[in-house]
Amino acid sequence: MLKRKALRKILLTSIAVFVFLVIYLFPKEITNELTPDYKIEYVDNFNTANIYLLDENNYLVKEKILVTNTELLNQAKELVNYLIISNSNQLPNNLKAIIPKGTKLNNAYIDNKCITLDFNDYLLKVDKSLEEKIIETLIFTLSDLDGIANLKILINGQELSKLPQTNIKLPIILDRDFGINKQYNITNVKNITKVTIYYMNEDNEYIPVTKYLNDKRNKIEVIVDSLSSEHIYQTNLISYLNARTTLLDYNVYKDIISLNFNESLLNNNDILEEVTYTISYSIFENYDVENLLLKVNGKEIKLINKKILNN
Amino acid sequence: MGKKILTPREKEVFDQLVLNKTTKEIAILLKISEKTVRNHISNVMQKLGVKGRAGAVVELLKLNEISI
Repeated sequence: MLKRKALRKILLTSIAVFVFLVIYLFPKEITNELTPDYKIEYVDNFNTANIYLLDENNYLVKEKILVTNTELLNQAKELVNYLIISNSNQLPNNLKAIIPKGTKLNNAYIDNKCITLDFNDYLLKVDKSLEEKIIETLIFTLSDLDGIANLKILINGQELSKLPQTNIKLPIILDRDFGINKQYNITNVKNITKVTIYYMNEDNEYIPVTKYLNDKRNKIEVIVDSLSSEHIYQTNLISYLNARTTLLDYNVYKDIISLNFNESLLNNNDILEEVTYTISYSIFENYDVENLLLKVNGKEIKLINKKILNN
Repeated sequence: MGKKILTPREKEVFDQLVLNKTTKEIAILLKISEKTVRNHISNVMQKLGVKGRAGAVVELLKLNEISI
């Protein structure tokens, strides 16, 4: 009897010890430490800037790019470098630079928000169809930088007053009023207006299009109508604004534009990001305001600040 | 430098045309006859190889010879 009890105790103790050992000696999570054969660098000192590059439909498209320089002139030079065709540049998606390879910046300086760029004569060694786009890409890319409002372009120290192949006259001081991705839809000489509207492409990139048209309405109405139109005839220009969206009223007061829409502006009780951006970019491009307020049936939905939008 | 497309007077006429001025109003403004205004417009259309005033305006806008 006693022997049996003792044996039982021994057995139980042995089992307990065994379980104890299993728990502690059982291998923990197997981890294979990966040792990459490349060095990982942490980039902690960068900014993003806007850049306008050519897409496959020959539109200049607004994209974001990393810039390592923080000082304004160096940032501008870095962006110009990205705009020059090169084998080594890392550009977003399938967009391309258009300034010819071999183009060099002889000199650049900023004075009173105007950047002067002195290029060598490779700048305009392009196909006729791209000549104007080179000017557009430089203007829009550099004037998106906070601190630059306009440009002067020199070729080997001489002011560029006319494009050689297209004969397009250039003002001495260039600004965004020059337009981009221009379209002309004028049928008579009355009520000609110029409006820049931001659409999107299939890669979700934003495309500014400067339209010349006959329209006596306010530019705000033209923008909303263009973006909500059921018929955007070019299939490579997209707008996500619901075709049933109606602009009920609007108000321009000092530094803020307020747009009041019907409920079709909303998608699941919120405004689509693409709609916010296309309307905002378009408004800020045509009006010198810092803020845009979007309302639905009088109720404030979203306040957009131009500086935050561009960053 | 290259030959200019518009004479100064032709430019004045088209600058006013895109401001919704009629031929008569342009004539009064520039102190010339309506016939002269029409001649200037026709000359420019011929130079640009276009048929109508709207066509001329489009070409001049593209060339940045006039602006909106």
